[in-house]
Amino acid sequence: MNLAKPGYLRVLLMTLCFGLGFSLFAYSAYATEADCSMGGLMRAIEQSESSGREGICVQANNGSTCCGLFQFCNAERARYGLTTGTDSQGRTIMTSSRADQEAAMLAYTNDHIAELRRRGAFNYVGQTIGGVLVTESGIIGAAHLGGVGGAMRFLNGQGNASDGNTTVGQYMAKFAGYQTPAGGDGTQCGNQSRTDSASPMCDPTIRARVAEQVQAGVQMMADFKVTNSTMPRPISEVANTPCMSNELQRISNQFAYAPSMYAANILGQLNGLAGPVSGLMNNMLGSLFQSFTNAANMNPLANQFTQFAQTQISSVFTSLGLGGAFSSALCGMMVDMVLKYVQCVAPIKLPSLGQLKGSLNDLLPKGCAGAALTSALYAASNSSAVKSLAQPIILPQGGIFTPKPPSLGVAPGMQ
Amino acid sequence: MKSISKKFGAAAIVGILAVPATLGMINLASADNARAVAPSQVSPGQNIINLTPSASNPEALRIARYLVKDELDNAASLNQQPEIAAQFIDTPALGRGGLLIAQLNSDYSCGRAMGCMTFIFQLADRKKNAWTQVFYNMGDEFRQVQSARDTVRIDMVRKGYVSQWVLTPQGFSLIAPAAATAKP
Repeated sequence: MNLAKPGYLRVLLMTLCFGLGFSLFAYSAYATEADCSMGGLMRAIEQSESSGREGICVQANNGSTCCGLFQFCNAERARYGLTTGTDSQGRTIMTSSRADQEAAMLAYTNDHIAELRRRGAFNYVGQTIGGVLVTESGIIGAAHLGGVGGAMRFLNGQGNASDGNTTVGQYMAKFAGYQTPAGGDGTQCGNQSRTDSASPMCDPTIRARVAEQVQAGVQMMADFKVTNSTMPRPISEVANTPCMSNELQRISNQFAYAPSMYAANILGQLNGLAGPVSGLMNNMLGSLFQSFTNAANMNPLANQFTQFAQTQISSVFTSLGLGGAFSSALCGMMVDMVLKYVQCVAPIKLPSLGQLKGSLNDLLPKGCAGAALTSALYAASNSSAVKSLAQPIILPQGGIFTPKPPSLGVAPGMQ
Repeated sequence: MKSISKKFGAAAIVGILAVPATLGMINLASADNARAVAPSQVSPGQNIINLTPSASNPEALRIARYLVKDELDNAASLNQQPEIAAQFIDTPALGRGGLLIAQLNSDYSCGRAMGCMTFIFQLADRKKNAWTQVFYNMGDEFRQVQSARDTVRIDMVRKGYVSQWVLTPQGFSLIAPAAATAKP
């Protein structure tokens, strides 16, 4: 038997990640005039910066020269490997190709996203600040044109840098709603005044009704989880018999089937919901989140509603143990299973363990893997595995495994 | 023996997440809508405030580092150390050194289109050396405008466009937005 059924996990993660817009960065094919993909955002920034003039250079007042499609100045050009030269009239021009400039822009934007994330900028998404509905792409656009600092001061209410004509807030609205690696559904972009107050779907009565239905769905899923799922016992309870094949079997089965079981049940339950949200959610979930537009077309008002729905769906997934990648319940199962393998099947050298832990941490934003796995290893008297690369993993029974290459075997009785 | 990644799918999933970030190149269309890019021009009665970091007034720089500490800390949290430019501004209305202008130059504090984070502080109490922030904006260049004795006016240049600001009891207020000002 295949223990973890990676296929399930892949489908689930792809569903989550593509649906929530975390990783759609392959945008060249979609970069048309009116699209809201990442390519659309890049082109909008390009328009704002250089009007598409690849070679143009502008002397900045601080002595630096800013060049090209995205007006990279001296420091950025050096950092991202862009070059300048002179034309026949002796003027400074950007000599890097359009492709190189675009590649640099990708790297630059990714760096900005990381910085914005570290500064907590994306925590403001969904809020209305200064009359502007904050979106992921709006923040990215504002940060490109006004700096991460300028964007953060706007979000923190510390000032909306303005020359009386253009403000950071306007940039945030101008570049709102595009699909980005930081999130964003990409269904409605580039609005200049996409504010909460302008949305008819923000009518309190409608919101309350929809929220009520979604909450009913959340409750149903929570009930399902309680009645249909047996969570593994705490590690402290099973540590004494970590290698029992039936325990391994139970955990493996649960880990393998729980996500797909939950996901299938979500669909089934949400399909049964009545009212305006049912079709919307059914369509979104049924098409693996790939078409908010289609869902919105089912109800004209829903076109204004996707932001709210996304939040609600996130809470559905969170309540099911599927939000934020996996919940602590699934995380616990995963860690539990890793622990069993470390103890019972094949010792893992620390580099591999660290690599695995890092991978799990990538999947588990709440950091459960790092803390739980480490503490579980300590609890199982495998502290040496945590402390030293060279040390073998000492089993609770006192046996010693000779470290093997970084791979896992198959547990007894698990074939 | 199966590998860790195959067994748990973890690395494979991470790979799935990472791969799309490397896919594709931008295929952006040519553009129009050019903005003004010519160097700014200085009118009679305008003095460009030298915001070259190395030309900063040492005492102004020392005070500025204290006054903009929060932003320096924010930049430091991203492993950046902005270059600070600082100057005292003498005005007939506020006297010698009555204003202090500080500009922070780094990737964190500067935007491609908006220039760099700039603060102006007013000396509120000379005896206590107490300063009050009266201006925050992002721009490329700042000019002190010589006008009536009781008026303190600063012009801000951003990508060649000039906006005019005048000091009021509530801080600097915009009196002429960039769009309404003659472009260079």
